[in-house]
Amino acid sequence: MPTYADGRRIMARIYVIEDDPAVRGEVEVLLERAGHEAVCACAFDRVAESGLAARPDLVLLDLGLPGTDGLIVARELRQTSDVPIIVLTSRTTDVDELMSMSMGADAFIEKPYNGQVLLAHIDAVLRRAGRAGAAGRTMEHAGLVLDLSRSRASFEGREVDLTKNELRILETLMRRPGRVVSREELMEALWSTDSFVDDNTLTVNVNRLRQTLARIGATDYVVTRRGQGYAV
Amino acid sequence: MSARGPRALGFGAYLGAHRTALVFCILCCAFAWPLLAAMGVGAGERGLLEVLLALAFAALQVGAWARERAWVEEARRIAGAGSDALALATDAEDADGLEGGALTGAVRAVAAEAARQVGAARAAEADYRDFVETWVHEVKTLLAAANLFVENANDPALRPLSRELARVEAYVEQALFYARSSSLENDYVIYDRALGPLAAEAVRSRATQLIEAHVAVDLMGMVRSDGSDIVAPCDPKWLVFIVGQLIDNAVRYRADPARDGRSPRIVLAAREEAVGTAGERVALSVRDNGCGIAAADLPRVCERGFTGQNGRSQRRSTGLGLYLVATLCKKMGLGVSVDSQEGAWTEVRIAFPRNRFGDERDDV
Repeated sequence: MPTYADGRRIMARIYVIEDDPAVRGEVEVLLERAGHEAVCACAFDRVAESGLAARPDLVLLDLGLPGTDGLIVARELRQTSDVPIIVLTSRTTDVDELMSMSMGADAFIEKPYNGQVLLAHIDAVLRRAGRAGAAGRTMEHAGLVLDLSRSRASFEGREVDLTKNELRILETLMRRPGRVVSREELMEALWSTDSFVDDNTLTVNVNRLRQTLARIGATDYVVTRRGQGYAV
Repeated sequence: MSARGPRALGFGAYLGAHRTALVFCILCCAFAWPLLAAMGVGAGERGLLEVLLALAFAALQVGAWARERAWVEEARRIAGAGSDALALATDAEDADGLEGGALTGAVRAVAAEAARQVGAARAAEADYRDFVETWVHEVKTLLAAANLFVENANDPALRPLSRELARVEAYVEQALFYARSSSLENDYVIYDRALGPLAAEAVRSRATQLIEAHVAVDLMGMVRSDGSDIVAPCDPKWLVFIVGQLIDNAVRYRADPARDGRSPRIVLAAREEAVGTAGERVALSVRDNGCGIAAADLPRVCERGFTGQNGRSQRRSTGLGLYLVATLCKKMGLGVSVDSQEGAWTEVRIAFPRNRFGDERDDV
């Protein structure tokens, strides 16, 4: 398992084909924080070739590229490799989506997208393809380890399964350890996975998460900051 | 447009139209009689000459009628052709004779110029559409960068920024669909899609606004009672936009718990109606429990720029949302109806006819 200099293991090597430098930079930050290694294309004339030379586990492909078309790149990649491809685009006709899929893309995400949604898609595609990183992303804070792909939390050697909503809430809280996450932010995180909870349901969900964590000994792991939100 | 085709030009009608010439011919024959008598021409010869004169006049009139009839009938055909007038005028056949020739020439010139102008306008419109699509594409790339930046920064202080970005995105989308709605081209792709995921996508796209306004969303009715998908023919991108506009309205005119004594709520539901009949359809409804629409305003809410009492009192209405919804639905052949009780609720229903595309699909 390859590792970073600081010892964290690298989940997957992801080749990013995106011509907008600002988006490219932010995607790079997003991927590396999630434990992936991002390799970015800088020139686009023979991007499929140079992309495959980097031996990526997954390719993120923007459709609107200077001098070429993302669909052509997708086809070139597919001709010589079965590397999973996720197409990202801001074009808004359905034809692009259908074309991308017929060119062999594994997923299609429209810009502007939510970063966590992108990471979830990457996890799902890697898992489906049985690639590196399929082992799963994990997060750790104050002795509690969260395995995102298996939806399990472990604390002092004890493990427990989390529901989809519990996982999402805990992940969002652990992304900002020690600081308050507002109820609105938690609701948005849940809504992005089609769990359209209202205020009351969120309270119920957070309390269930507390009970679940208490079962593995992590009592009072989630604290309420009255009028502000929650924190771990 | 006349169902009987163009009116034929009978000889009687022709003579009626050329009364002056007819009277002149009769007067000529009448004056010729005493004139020839004064010149000492015998009665038998006079009679013969009168008959020859009358025949010559008659031949002239019949000849002129035959020529005129052709182009008058052609002109009448074009005049009565309605939306086909331009095509008929372009193909107008050359008529014999001075007037006919001049007239068909003029008609063809007008038609050619009109066709040129329509072509130029269509090309300009297509260019404009391309520009808007490209522009929206560029802005969305910038928004993607900005959203990822806010998300990566993971700082609660930046939340207002992400809220404003979401609003920018909604307005950009509106500009795109406004250009699409006024376009002469129909660039949607209609096929059967499950409505539940599309409604969910629309709700997700308004998540920030809905959560901020504490509006609860109920999507339970988007699937059948056994949990299976309800499918209807539509362009998914267009429908997500349409539902997004309806959600925007529901958020804008939501209930105020302090004033109305109820918390704001949106219920999205799909229902299969008249199943098994020729009128089989799927009805998608978006219902809120907000301030409703005044009965007097209700018939006009889909008009462009109409803001009504609500729009004026809340001061945030562009009068475009429902207009765009109605225009886009009309383009896709969907029915829209708005119903409301002031102070209680508003419901917008979109009806998808089920069988309309069945025949076409069989041909593919």
